[in-house]
Amino acid sequence: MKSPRFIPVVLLLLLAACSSEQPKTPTVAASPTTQVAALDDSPTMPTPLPTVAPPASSTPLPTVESIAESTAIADVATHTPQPTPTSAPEPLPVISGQIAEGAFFLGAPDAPVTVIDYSDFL
Amino acid sequence: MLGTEPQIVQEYVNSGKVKLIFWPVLNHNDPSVYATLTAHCVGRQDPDKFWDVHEMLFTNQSDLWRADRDYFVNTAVAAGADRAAFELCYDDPTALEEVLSLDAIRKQRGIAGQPMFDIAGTVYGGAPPYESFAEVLDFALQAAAE
Repeated sequence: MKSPRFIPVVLLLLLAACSSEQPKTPTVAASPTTQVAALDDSPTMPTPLPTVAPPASSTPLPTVESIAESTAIADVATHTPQPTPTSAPEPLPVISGQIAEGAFFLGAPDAPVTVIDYSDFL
Repeated sequence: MLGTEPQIVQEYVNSGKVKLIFWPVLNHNDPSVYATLTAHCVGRQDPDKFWDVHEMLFTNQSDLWRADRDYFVNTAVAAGADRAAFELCYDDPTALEEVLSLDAIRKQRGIAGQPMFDIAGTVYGGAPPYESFAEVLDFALQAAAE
């Protein structure tokens, strides 16, 4: 039969065990500016996240009134804007004419490639 | 001979990829000169009709050796040129000088034979098949796009 003196001691031991239980800190990938949190039993402060500088200029959040106004105006266009399909560039206009030296040409004047056909009709 | 030119015009010129310049080479004396003068004078009236006469002259190339003034006038009229205006040009020494000057320029450029093709600055000789042309043109277009 146990002595009543042992019961408080057991309780004390239980309380001590509960207080030493630490949450597991996730490991953080090592970087030059951050320290990897070590997994140990000693209580440690969580690794602070690197601060992110706010953008140079930030667009103010719309007020409740402006949202109401924009909603009223935008009643016509409530659909989600779709990306504009890219279309093939229009071909350059094909014409005929004379170059400065007097020879005749056929094709777009700004065509990327010029071909000179040196030919005799005979 | 027109050779592969119609295909090149259809595939590359009409699509705006290539600008084609016809540079006359007068290597066969008067027949070359007056055939070129005919195309030149028709083109002066309408550049589109230059290419019509260009095709007609090449198609009837065998006739050109014995062609006279009447032949060339009839050719111009058949292509839709105004007869009177064409004859004025055909008989104009200035127009003849323009044609001869083009021939002089090609000699200065070192173009001796025909046909020769300057494709984006590189000169090729002979009349290769269309596939060879297409390969060179595609390469030149790719280089131009970079």
